[in-house]
Amino acid sequence: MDGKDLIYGMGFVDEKFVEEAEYATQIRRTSFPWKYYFVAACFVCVISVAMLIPNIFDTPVAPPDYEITLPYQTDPAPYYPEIHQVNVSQVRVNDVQSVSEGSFLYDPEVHEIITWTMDEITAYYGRNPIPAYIPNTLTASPYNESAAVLVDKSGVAVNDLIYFDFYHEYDNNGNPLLDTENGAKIGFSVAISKIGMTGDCVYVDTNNLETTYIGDTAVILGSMSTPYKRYTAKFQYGGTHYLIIADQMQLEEVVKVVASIIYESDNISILN
Amino acid sequence: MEDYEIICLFWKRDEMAIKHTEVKYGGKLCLLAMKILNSREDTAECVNDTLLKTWNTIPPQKPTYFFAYIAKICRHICFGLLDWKNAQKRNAKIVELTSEMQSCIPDSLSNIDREVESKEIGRLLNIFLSGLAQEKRLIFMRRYWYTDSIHSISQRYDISESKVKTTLFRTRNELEIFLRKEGITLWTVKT
Repeated sequence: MDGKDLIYGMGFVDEKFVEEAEYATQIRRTSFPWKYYFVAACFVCVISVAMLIPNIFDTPVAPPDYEITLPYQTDPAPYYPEIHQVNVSQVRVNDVQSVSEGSFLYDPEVHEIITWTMDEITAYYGRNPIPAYIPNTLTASPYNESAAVLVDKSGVAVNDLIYFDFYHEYDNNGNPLLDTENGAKIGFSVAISKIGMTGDCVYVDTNNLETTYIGDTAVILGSMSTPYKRYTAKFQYGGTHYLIIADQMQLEEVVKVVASIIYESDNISILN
Repeated sequence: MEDYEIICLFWKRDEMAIKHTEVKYGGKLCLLAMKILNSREDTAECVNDTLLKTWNTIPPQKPTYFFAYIAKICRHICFGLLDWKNAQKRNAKIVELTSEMQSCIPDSLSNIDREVESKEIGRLLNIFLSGLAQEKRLIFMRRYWYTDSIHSISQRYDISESKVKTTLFRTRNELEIFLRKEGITLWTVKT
C-alpha cells in the first residue's frame, strides 16, 4: 500500500462528501471561544477586587460641580435588514407518489367547532404563522382571517389544523379559480398544526428520503409527476408542523416561501 | 435544468440528458480531469467517457448527488488513464499529492506487498472523514479528491495558505493514527 493507493482509494469515498466539498463555499470555524473566557475572567477579577476592598462601593461620591453635556447627539446606526440566503442547488426534492386528503372523526357529543380570529391564532401558535414572503402574483384567501378548529368540552383544541391559502384568483365565494390551461390552481396552501395534524397525506418513498436543511430546520421537499408542477414541503418549526402544497409554482418560489417561515423574514435571497 | 430532471431524462433514455449534463457540468468535469491528467486530449476523452458511462449506468442507478456521481466516474477514468510511470515527468502535482499521502501510511501497512483493495480504503476513508470536523474535511477533500492547489483552497475558503497547510498536515497525521488503528482490520480483510 502506498500514497497512490490512498489517492485512488479517495475515489471511493461517499458521494455526500464529494458534493459537500463542491458546494460548501464557507467553512464553519470551530474556534475556541476565547472571548467568552476573557469576559468571564474580567468578571472574576472585578468581583475579587470588590471582595478584597469591602468598602469600595460604599464610598460616597461627591456630585460634580459642573454639568456634563454631550457636544452633539449621534444618530442611531442605520438599520439594514438581514438577508437570508438559500442555495437552491443544495435543495433535495423527493418523488411524491400521491397526495390524499386526511380526515378527522368529528363527534358532536365530544367536540365543538369554534372559530379563532387571527389574534387568537397568533396567540395559540406564539407567532403569526402566515409566511413572510408571498409571491406578488398571489393573493391571500378571504378565509385566511379566521379559522374553525375543534375543541373538546373543556375547551382544549383537539384539531388545531388551520389552512392558509394563497392563489392567483378567487371566485365570488372565495374559492381558488382553476386556470384554463391545466385546470388546476396556481398558488399554494399552508397547513399548520401544533398537534401534528397536517391534513393531507403526502406519500413518498421513505427508504430514499432526502432532507433539505434551511437554516437548522429539516425540510422534506417533494415533487409530484402531474401534468403541471406540484411541490410539497413538510417541516416543523417553532413547535408547529407545516405542510405546504404548491401548484404550478417554481421550485425557487416554494423554497423562498418555506425559508420566509423559517427565518421569519421576507428578505430571502435565492442562489442558483 | 435541475439534476433530478436530467436524471429523469436518463431514465427515459432521452439523449438530451447527455447534452444537459455536458452543458451543466462539462466545465467542472474538464477542470477536474485537467488537474489530474494535465493533457487537453486526454481530458476531452475522459469527459466523453464519463458521459458515456453515466448513460450506461443510469438506469439502473438513481444517484442522490448527481454531480458527485459523475465526478466520481470522471475521477476513476482519469486515474485509469493516468500513466503513473511517466506522471513524474508530466504532472508534478500528482507526484506531490502522492508523496503527501504516502506520509499518512504507517510503516506497518507500507510493508504489505499486495495492493489493498481501493474499495476497502474508500470504506476506511469514509469512516475517517465522517469523524472529521467540517473545516478539516472540506480542505482534505479539496486537496486529495479534487486535487486543488493549496492556493486555490485558501482562495475558496478565504483562509491563509499557512492555515490550509497546517490543517492538511494535522489531518494527515490523524489519518496515519487512524490507519494504524485500522491496520489490523485492513490486514485481516486481505488475508
